[in-house]
Amino acid sequence: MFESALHNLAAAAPAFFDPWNLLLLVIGAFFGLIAGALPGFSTSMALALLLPFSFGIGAINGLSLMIGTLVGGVSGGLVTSIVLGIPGSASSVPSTLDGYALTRKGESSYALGLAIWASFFGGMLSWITLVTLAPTLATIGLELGPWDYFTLMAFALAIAASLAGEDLLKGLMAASAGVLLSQVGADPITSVYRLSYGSQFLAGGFDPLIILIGLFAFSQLMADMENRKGAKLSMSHGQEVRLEPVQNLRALRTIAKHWMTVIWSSLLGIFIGIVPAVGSNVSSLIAYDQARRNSDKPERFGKGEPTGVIAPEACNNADVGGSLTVLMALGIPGDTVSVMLLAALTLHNVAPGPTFIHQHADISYTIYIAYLVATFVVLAMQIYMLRIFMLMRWIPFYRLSASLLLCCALGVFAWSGVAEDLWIIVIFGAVGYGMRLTGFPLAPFVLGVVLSAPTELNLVRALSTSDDLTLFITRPWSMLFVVLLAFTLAFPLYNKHFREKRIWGLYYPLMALACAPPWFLMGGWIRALIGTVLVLIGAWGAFRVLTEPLKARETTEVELAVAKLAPSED
Amino acid sequence: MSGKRRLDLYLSIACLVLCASAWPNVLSIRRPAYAQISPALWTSLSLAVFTFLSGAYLVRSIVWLRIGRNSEMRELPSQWYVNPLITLVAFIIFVAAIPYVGMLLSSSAFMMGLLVLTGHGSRKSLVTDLTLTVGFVGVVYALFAFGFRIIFPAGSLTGF
Repeated sequence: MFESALHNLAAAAPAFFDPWNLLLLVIGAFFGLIAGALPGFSTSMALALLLPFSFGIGAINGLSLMIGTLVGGVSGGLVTSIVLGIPGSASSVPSTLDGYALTRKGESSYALGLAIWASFFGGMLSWITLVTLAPTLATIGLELGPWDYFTLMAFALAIAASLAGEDLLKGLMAASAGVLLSQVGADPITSVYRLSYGSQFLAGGFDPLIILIGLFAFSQLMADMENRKGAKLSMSHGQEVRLEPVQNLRALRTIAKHWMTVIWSSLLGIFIGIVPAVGSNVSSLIAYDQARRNSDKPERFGKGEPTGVIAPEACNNADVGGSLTVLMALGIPGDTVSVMLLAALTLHNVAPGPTFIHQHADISYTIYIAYLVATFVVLAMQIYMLRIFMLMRWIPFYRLSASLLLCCALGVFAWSGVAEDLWIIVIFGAVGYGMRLTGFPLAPFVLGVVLSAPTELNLVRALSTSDDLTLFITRPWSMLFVVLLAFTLAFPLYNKHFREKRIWGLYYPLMALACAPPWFLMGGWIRALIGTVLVLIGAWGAFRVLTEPLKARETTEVELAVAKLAPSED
Repeated sequence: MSGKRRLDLYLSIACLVLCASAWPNVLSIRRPAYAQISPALWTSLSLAVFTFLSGAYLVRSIVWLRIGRNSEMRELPSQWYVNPLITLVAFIIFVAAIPYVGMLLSSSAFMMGLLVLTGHGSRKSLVTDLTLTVGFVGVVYALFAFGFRIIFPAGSLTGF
């Protein structure tokens, strides 16, 4: 296995290290850093804008551009959040608390060093996970039948919906609306028209790429323009900023002292990245909260505590590798940025799944190398080109918005070659904006659009293979996903009541106990061991909940923020 | 406040109307002889889920209307609708004008118009906006036309 990985890496390297490809990766990283640094210009939006161009330049070049943008976008938010106190992206919100506090103490170069290096180490740990875990997960993926895939995708949709703020109903509605919308036009299996109402416009269906651009770019730009006065101002509001070279050595010494925080936060980020539909905005907040809980001096958090910068930054970069792992191994997008990468792969007729890593070794290993190289490129850019990114603070938002809208239109035309498709951006821009206004989350809707076709395909495969419907719940993997699905749907209730009612404290212990039987049914001693561990955890957790008095503890600001957060739309 | 509460009610009714209009279409999806599983299965299943959820949304909005509870929506600044409306209308005019004046002229007019309508409107900023429009559209067009070799549609009135 190791030999074959080395062989594949060696085979993919010449195409990747082509100067044109490297230039695209650098351009992508630069663009991503700018997108990450500007509030209202999310990584998803940057990736959506690049999608049409990634098609015109070939699979390897296109993916290098996209990966560069992704890594840059995730890291880019730290600059403005630390220097100006304005988070460029939702995932950099926690870094603002202590990062900006350090800036106010005159320690901005130190805070930037901490954030930049923590991001780098988080990214590296994430890359190691991606390279080692994705092939293993893909091997497990080969065990999954269409019944298991169907329930896995239903679970992914449910988790996206359940994490959409506090309103599960709206999340579920958004996900099912996305599923329905993707069916407009010809059925991919039989070519029979569905939901077309006899209209030629609808019979053509909606290109997911154009939907993504309309929903994420157009509607976001409309929402960002709501504040009429704010749209005319630049990000810095005329504030002068004194920038000194990043204090790399001092930051590295601090990170070495808090190496456990880096590892723990990165592992947390990787794990949350692997869970479908949860994104880096949730993971970075959880990492911040965990760092504070584990600290000897939690009172220092929010006042310039270095680990308050290290934890969220390591975590949000590590999240990328986790979501890429699931995307590459199972074809399930972990968050909205993975949806964009999935769309990019689909444009090149590549469908990620358990056989993807072996069948498309050139592309999968390009992703590995691109992620690694992009992490180094972003590190170098953040250390040496900080002043350039800070120039962005002078651009008034209305100018940025008009330029980006034009890019959306030209990008869609470049992709489809049909001017009429611009009407689809108008429709989905308006739909997306309406959803934002009325509290319907976009992430489940988009996941519904993307996951509908593979879910249907697996349903048809399952039903064509056997008439036995019980297979959807009796096969071990299906059973596991159904159990997780049920607990996911109950999560908003748990989140609401666990502080007041003891019974809700049993949520996690019961989940552990309910997840154990499928592991025993899978066979093999490792899986039986996992099942046993789950039983022990569940029993211990239930014992503690039932015997210890209910603690009425204070809800922290971070917990409140996590409870209210929607899946990442970064 | 009551507007917000009613919004949920109106939305749920709109969703149910949408479902009612979709059901006849779904039920008339033909099943070809070669299809082992009907192509209507997945559509019916997802529409049934959406209809059920829309019904639940209607019930909830009625209950919430009675108890005076609001759905979670973000706070909006005053005159929040002006700029988004300008953006949407400007974009619609831009797309509608393409067949007549061509992509180049239409996009320049769109960008300049949007900058003027949403920006400061002072003479100094007009000059900057005009420079930005000419420069940005020029660079982007050059990139598309020469870099990606994309031919943009010409207008029937202008010929370019």
